[in-house]
Amino acid sequence: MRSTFGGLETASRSLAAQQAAMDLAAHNLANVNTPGYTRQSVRLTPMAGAGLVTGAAGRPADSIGGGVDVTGIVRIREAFLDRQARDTAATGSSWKSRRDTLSRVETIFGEPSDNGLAAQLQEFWNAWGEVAAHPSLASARSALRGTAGTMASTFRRIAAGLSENRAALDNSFRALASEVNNAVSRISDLNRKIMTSTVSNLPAGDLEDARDLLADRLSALTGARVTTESDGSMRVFIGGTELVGSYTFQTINITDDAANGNLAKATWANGGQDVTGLGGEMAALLTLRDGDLPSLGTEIDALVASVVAQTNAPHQAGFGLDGVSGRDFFDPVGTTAATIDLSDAVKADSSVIAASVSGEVGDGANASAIAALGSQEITAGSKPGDYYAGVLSELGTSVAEATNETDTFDALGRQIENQRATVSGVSPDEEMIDLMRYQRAYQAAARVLTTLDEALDTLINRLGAVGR
Amino acid sequence: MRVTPTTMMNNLVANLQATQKSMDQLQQEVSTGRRILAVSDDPSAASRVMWYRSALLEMSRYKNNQDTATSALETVETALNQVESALTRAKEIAVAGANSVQPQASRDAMATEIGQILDHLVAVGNIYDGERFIFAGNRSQTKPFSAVGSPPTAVSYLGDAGAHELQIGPGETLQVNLVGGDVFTGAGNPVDVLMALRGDLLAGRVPDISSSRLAEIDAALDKVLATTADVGARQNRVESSRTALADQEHRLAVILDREESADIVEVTARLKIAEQNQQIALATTAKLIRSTLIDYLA
Repeated sequence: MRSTFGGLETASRSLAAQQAAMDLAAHNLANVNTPGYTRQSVRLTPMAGAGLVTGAAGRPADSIGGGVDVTGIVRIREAFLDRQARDTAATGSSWKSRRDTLSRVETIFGEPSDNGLAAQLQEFWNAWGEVAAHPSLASARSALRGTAGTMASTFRRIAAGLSENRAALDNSFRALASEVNNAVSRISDLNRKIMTSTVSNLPAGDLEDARDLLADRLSALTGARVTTESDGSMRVFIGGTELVGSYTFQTINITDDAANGNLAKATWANGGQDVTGLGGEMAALLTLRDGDLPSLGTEIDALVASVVAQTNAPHQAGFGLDGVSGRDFFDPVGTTAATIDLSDAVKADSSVIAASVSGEVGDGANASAIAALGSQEITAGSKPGDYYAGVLSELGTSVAEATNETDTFDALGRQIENQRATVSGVSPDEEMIDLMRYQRAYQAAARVLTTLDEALDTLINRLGAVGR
Repeated sequence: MRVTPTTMMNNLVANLQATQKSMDQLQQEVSTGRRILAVSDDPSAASRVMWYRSALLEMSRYKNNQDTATSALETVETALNQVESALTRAKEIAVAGANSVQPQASRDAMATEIGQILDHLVAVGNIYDGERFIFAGNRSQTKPFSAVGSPPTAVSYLGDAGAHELQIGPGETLQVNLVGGDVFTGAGNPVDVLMALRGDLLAGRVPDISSSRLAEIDAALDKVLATTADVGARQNRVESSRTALADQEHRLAVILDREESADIVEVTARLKIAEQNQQIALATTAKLIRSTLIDYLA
């Protein structure tokens, strides 16, 4: 026999369930713009019947269900899209930091322009030509000294710009490493909380959202791989080494690498091995810091070394206005872009400039020979100007490539992000409709309650009142 | 497919940014008039542009040298003309002096004029153009001719045979000076000839004048004329190099312009289109952002 008041229970459970659903719609709506938020929905399940309705004789008893039950709050999310988004973010952010750094480096050179190094190099040879034409004119000599000084300081400015950028990359690398460490410990913390909730069957959707957001960032920074275990915990790997386990985590230690100019070096906190298999932005920073920028510097240094050596050799053989030979034009010690400078003798007195082959003051043949170096293949088999243009064109190509790849991965990332939003994003329209639906259901349940109340009123107050 | 506001916003923002970016690039092209603002805009064209610019700069050096060459050769030519007219005058005097029927006094007067001509020749040999003694070779700051006595009875050359060569074109050099040896020293040079003439006039050696001096003056004059012709030929070489260089420079400038310059008409048109797209996108965004179901629920 069914309980007389069973219906009330059913109606009250329905009221509670519809209310929970409305609360959840409110929660979803509130988080419509929250980054990383995954829309949630209530899982409503019909309750199995407890009471039996006695059937007619010979018929089995029928069961009426006990109404509705909220059996869980579900996050609507697709793990496959997460994996895709993280892979794309890792590659995309690596191209992006390449683009940003390399285009910054490109602006150091400021080419093509009328006053970039290419023009200054040509003006340097031109100034020698001017001295060749007017070997005894002090103004031509001062002009050459000025032009050469400007060129040298441009070289030094470029070298300084490159090393500033390297230092900036190193600082960013250190900052990202500490961001990674922070994310790692927070993921581990969230792991613990989520596992506790899972065990006690409590909803942990918002915690999981926070953890997924951290994992997204971690992948973009390091190219880390992320897996989710059945106990609800998340594991994170970099190049096969476990960064975060279900119960443990390890951080990345940053030390000054004495073998690499005291730049930052990443090692594992456990065991102290070098961190290998990095991807994402951090790997891009390392490649730029230890690859692109130093090799660009080496290429510019080769240009400087050839110009300095090739100018000094004939200059030593030639004679200044004072009839003395054997002096350098450039300081022979400064054979890199960072150190190139005029020799002290030339700095002190422009008449030292050895324009003459014969020692006579009207002889400009030596200056003429030096001026001609500009159109000779003295730098790694190329003319100095062509060599420089080649180096810049290579840099420009890298920038253009990084820009294109960044654009591509931006578009790809946006696509995946949109797919993610399609699955997990909150749609206010949808939530409003849900809200209405649950509101109606709530009203209906309330009506059921009233109806039952009336029925019970009949039963309790009116029944057996015969003769009263 | 579910479309959520997040999707819509992401797309809108991305598209607005894309239009804005292209507008920015176009705007820069319009305001600078240049298509290549950084090497990465077009790496291969940029390296060509850098090459053209260097080549143009190099040409400016040749142009300077051509100007220097022209003015140096003009100075030399003027000097040679003076030598020529001095010799012509000396020849007239020699012809008159070869006449034996005249008093020694008139020959003495002729000798005095030859003495003046000699002084003038030494002065021409010592011309300083403000930068160099033009007949001194590479000893350009040393007065090349030193005369003993006035009128000179002996002249010594202190310059050298150094050639002053200028690059007047790619791989093209030209000697723009004459050294003393080309004009004023060596066998049968005008100075020696005139000094002998003066001696003959003073001593009244009329037959020597007619038999030797006149012929020597003619030979010296021929040599000066030949040298002048050679200087003229060098001037012509400078001129033809100048024409060739100007032609090449013009062609390079045109190519550079073609590589580097923005097509203003096209860029402006594209900018206009981009602006319109931007307007449309903004207007649509304003509409889309507002409309949700909430607006329609009571």
